[in-house]
Amino acid sequence: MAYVDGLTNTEELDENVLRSLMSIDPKEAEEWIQADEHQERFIPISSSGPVNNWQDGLLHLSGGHALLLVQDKGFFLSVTRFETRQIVEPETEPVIRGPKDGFIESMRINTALLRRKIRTPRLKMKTLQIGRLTATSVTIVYIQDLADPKVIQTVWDRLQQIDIDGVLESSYLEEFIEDHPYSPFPQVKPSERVDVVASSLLQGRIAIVTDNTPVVLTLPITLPSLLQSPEDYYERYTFSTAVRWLRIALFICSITLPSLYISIMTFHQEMIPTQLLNSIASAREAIPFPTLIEVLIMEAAFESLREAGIRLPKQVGFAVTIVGALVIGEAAVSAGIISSPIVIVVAFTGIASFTVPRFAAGLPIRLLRFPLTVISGIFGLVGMMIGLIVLCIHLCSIKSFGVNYMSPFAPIRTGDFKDVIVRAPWWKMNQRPSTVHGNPNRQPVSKPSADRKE
Amino acid sequence: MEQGRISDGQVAYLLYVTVIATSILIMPSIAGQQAGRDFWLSAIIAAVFGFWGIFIALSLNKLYPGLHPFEMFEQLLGSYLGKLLGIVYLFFFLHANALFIRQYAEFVITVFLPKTPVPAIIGLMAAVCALAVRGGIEVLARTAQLFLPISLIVWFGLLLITIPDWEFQNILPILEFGALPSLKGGFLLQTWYGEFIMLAFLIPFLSSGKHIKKYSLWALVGVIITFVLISFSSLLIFGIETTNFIYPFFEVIRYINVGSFFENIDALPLAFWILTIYLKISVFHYAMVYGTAHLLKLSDYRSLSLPLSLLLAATGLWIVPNTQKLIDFFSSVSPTYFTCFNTLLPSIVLLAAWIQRKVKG
Amino acid sequence: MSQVKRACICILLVLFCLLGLCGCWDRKEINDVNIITAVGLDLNDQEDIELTVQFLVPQSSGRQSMSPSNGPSTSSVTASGITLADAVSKLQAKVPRLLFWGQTEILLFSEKFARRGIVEEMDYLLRNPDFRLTTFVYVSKNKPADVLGKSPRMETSTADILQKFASLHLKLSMTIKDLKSALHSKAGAFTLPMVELTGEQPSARRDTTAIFKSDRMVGQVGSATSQGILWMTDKLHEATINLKIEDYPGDISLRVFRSHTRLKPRYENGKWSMGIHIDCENDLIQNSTRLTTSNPQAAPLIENAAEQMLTNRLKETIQYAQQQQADIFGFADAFHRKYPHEFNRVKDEWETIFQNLEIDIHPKFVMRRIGMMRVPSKLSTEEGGE
Repeated sequence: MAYVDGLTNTEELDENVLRSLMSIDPKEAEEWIQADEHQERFIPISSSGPVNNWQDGLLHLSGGHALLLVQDKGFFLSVTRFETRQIVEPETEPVIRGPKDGFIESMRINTALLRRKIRTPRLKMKTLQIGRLTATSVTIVYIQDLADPKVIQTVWDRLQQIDIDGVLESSYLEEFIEDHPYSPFPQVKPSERVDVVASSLLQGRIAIVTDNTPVVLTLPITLPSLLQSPEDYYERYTFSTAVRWLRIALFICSITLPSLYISIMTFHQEMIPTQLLNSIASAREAIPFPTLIEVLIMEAAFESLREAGIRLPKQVGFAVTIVGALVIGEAAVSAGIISSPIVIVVAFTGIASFTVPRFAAGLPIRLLRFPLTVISGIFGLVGMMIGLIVLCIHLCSIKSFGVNYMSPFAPIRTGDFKDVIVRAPWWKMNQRPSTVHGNPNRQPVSKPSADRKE
Repeated sequence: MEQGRISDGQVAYLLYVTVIATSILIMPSIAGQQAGRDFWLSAIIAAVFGFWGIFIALSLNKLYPGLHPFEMFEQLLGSYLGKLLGIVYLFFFLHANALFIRQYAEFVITVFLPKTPVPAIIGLMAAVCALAVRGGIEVLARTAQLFLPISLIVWFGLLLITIPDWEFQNILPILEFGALPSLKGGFLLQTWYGEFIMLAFLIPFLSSGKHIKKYSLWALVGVIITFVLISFSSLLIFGIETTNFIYPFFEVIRYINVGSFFENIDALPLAFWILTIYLKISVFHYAMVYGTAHLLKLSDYRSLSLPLSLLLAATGLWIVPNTQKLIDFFSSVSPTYFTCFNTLLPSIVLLAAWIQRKVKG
Repeated sequence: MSQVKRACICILLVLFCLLGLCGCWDRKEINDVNIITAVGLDLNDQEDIELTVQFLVPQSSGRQSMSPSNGPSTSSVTASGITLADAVSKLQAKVPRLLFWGQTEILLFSEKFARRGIVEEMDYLLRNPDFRLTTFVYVSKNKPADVLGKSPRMETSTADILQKFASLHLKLSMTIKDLKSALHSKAGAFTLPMVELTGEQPSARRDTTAIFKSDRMVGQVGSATSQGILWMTDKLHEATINLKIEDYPGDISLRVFRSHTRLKPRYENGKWSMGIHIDCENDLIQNSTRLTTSNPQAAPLIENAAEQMLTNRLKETIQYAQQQQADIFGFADAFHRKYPHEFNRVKDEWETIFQNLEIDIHPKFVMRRIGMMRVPSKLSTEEGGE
């Protein structure tokens, strides 16, 4: 009997396997050794099977199974137990109202969490192992007849072609299977929340669960889907609609606000009301740098603070980010390095970028803000528009596994607007999104009942 | 060669933006030179050229379904003459596009950036259009669907704000000198209405042409409404002075003054205008690149996009030495020149194709 | 990748970096720019254009966040040149920052300049894309250099004062756009409001309006006539008028809060005539007679008196304009709109026709409210105690 201490449940091994093995009648034992099949009948372990070569055997051992070697035959016994953490709400995606379960590092538990939410037998899972040295288990999860079989096949093929030493996080897979790996925008949506992944599955998307990481990937996605938060569906729809509009406005702001500020301040001062212009001019009198340099300095400082805030322990990090930003900003203004309007602009941009629900979608924005700022500092509003055009060309040419990245804005699909621009009440959402492959009609359509009269 | 397919609605967007982009700024002053106060009537009268362009494109499509116009030329006139006609059209696209990009650059420099050298502005726009064409017709159509609604909302929202300043009596007297001036003005507007013939160059890429008639007519109606609104806004605010401005729409926007904090915002809607001008130049550039690749029998047109855009930028710098010549061109030569390629030649081709079909039995 | 491709990419990168080196041609930092709020045009003794501009001086309040100043301060500078463009370039030579016209709110003409003719210098203003069309125009009795050089107590600058006066709409306010249409209109004459310094502050005196023919100032009119002009051109927004009623000694003051003037041009049998219909709604704001205004019979009395007064005033205004042969009311455009062909035949003799134009006035006053009291104070005081 071979097993790896720490990966196996030694209690179960002792109780069930050793006890039953030790109480086998010696005559039956002979028979058992000679027989060719059904040899597991003496061992009360549900998941067990034969092992035919050393490679598989070692793989089973490292996976936490126990190996039973009897003369020239081997069996693996699934008595795995290793320490996992509790199911808690993921820190990066909290909600006020809604389920608070998040994925953990064990793939089996993760898939089980999904099954608890979606109990239909049409929920299918296919597993494979990736990584020469890590042999990480990766599972594709999808709902049959809702997900596009072409996409499933593409994903499966691409995953199988991955030849890498080890897979430690699902992001490794992400970079391998993407359609456009050079784009700064993510084409799969990573999430740690079970309800987010489950709702994606219900919309006909595919989930990839990776062992040893709580981050589950869903694909295909669109840019508007990255701006949706699970809370939109748990709060009332009027409020959610307003919040969605705010989020879209802030998303655009977080990319364009510094560029807009620079281009108006340096090229088009006639647009500003005279009083405001005078205040800003007064504020800038003592500043030695041109506006573009000011903005770049402040942006760089802000990004540095953000990065620093992540590394520090939670209690300290919080204080550093908020207080640090304000204090440093104030100090810089008093020292005459930057002017106070810049602090406001950069702070508001930072806040706007925090409202993007998916952290992954916030990253390209942080990156793209800089070239946009530079080009608008050179050419003004014309430059900013050119930069935005280039950005939109890029966004419009990306497809995430066959789905246009900017759908439903381009190409326009008015049917999908009810979940992107507004959040229609559930009794109005009687059509599945167009990304779904199968039957577009939800069944049944339930409206408020007739006797619920106001 | 082009795998991308666009929908009928997207074609309507592209048609609309192609016609509107350059005309929205100077249309009232061009038509007003001949029509005086009645240039808004010219806008309605000239729509007939738009109808004709759509009619030609759709009829040609019925006779040669799914074919690119260059392929039609070859089928109609034989390989040699057909290719020749195609080359002539390519030069037309290059020239017209260079005019548009120059117009854009002149406007931007006059209003926004007086000291910036012209090559920088032209070069930036040409590079961006090259990028768009490289992505293919689908990317072009999708960016159109992204940019056009926003631009329209901004412009018409701002026009709405100007309504309190409209003095309706400025429209009188109507037809002061009879109908002839507005007809003359309408003739000048052909430069833009005739561009509806670009439909013929977009039809080969439709995914399904079922609603194309409906949508292209909607595009035409949209153009008419836009022209009339623009005309009204500048006429009713400025009266006959409108014809003295070079860029009347711009002046209307500059006149907006809400509560003394929302004034002089001309830079903002004109920044959105850059989005539409990019679309127009890209559409023409796409026609040119695709046509060139077709004539040279290449397997992919994308690699031509950047070099041809360099040519476009250079041509844009060479064609006219200053703004006056450009405006003069649009007032005098362009109606005839554009009519020749937008209306006359396609009409002849249609006639010839129809005759050929009849003869063949 | 191949050598050629690598070489191309290297060259492209180098060129791209060059883009940053060449600099931003049109960049205008806020502190390198002189924000001009008002422009004044005058003629100096050599008959050259004297240009005065008033601009904002930003306080350098970067160090301390509590600045005791109550707003920006302004300053002014003057330069002369043969034409306006010449004067502008000479002005730029005097000022270290770039002249920025995009925030100009006020344009002042001195009387001397106005009498010489304004259209030549207007060409510069209209051609330049930086000038707003919403700039208000005034004729100044004092030298613009003096008016613009003052620093007023309450408002931020004299430009601000004049702009606020214009938006109050108490008297005529003309923007450059209006001026432009007026210069090119068929009437050939127009009016501009005047300003005068009273003490340290300019006041847009509603008393005076300057009359222009073609592009020269030919005269100025006083308070009553100015108001008449406003009424005739449908530009009256608010006014206070004083009446005397027969049989009731004392004054009654009405506040007109809504007024609409309609011009009805007529051309019959070679005779030109104009009907003017005015609808006014007003409130009673002061009654120093014994007339009990809450009495329904009082209203027609007051309204008739008001109509009579208006007719007289308008007649005086029209008489003055006809004497001057200046069609300052825009009748020409009204006739042109209705009778374009007939008008075009006679448009060169319009001034003569205007002088002999028959005009009938149809005012209509409606008194809506009388305030908070039923009985006039005079009456209740005399009969008091009851």
